[in-house]
Amino acid sequence: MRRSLLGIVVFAALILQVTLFAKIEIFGVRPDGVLIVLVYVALAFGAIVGSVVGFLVGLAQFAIMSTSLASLPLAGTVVGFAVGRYGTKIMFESYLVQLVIIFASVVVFDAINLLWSAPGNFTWSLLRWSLPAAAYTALVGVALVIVLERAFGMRLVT
Amino acid sequence: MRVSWNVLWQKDFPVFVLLAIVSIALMAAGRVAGVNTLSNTLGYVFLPFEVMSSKLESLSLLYQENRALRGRLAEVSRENMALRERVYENDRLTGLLDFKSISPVPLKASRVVAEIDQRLGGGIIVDAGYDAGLARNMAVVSPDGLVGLIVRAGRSISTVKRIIDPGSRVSVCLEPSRVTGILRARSDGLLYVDWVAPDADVQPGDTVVSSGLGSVVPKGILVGEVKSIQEDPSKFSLSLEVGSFVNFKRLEEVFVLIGRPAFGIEPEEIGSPEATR
Repeated sequence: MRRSLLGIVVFAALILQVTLFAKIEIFGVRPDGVLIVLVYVALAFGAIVGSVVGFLVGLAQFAIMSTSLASLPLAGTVVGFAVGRYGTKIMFESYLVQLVIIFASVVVFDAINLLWSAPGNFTWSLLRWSLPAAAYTALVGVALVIVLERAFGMRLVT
Repeated sequence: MRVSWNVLWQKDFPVFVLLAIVSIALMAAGRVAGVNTLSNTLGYVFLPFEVMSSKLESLSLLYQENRALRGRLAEVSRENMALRERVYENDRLTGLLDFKSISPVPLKASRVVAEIDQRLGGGIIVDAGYDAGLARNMAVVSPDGLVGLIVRAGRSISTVKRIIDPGSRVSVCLEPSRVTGILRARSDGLLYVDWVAPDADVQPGDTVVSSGLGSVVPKGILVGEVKSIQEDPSKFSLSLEVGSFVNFKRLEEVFVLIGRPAFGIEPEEIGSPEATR
């Protein structure tokens, strides 16, 4: 993925999140397309780009829809940095590893937001919303990457 | 375990620290003016996509809904005739008793364009903002009953916290007993009226309406009905599970009560920076 395409990819992810991904919920749980893109951007470009993109998508999500989640930019920054710094040190070419990275990213992202917005309901919200959303997002993310890689005949992240 | 301090001197770490500091400053400052501008701009950019998506989804439901509405129309027409008679009777009795007349509250219809993920606090986004007269703390209703309150009004879109979203609280009373309580959504998404006196005369099936206490939600808006009653010996009170009359899964259009409440807390001034905070 080229850096010049980053803006378009992130913008497309935000649009997909408010349109397509918002409609494919299962038991109230939706995949987080923005986090999928953030994880792959951080894996492809490293911690600096990961942090900046994480901050910007968090800010965009905060501006578009949230009322109280001022923690979204911080959560995005932390996830982008952590995946870019540490995710690239492991064998992330494996789909199973990518699955685990996306799952962990959603959990960390939500944990930061829950600690800020609803610490009283932290455990319940994490179990009810975040863990299923993390599993769903991870499955959708890896499935999308496999489909895209088959379609273009190349590895997206190496 | 040895800690490598080299990590601090790698060039990605200062970038991370800088962004983290900006993020924390943002959290401390709340919604600053720059974010409001960004919010309004992004609102304009994303609104067409959200509306298009919402319209596509609603097309598939249109045929089914049309049939149901035709049946409902016949039913409502019959009810309307009966109600008209009641209005005449009510006017006559109100005049006799010299009750204070209550003027109807003006409504602003809005389309639901997006639903906020429960992971991000829940709520819905409607396609009208302070340009259309909406402001924070205005009540939002549907033909079936109370939907929630506006918690943020942007220029062209507003965010509504629904009564089923965690942290939502509404003062309600039960009919016919007129027992009052606080309706709140638990984190499991169910609605409860807590702290009802143990000797209160309540039954499953009792209607729950807004009480008007607190002056944010006007009095008398339908909320739901009592599904079950649970005794809480540790609190010496009853806890009532309430089923909302509104089907939140199929909410496509809502109405915002844009009139000022009769007294007490007023919606914040329309169009002011405070209105979006």
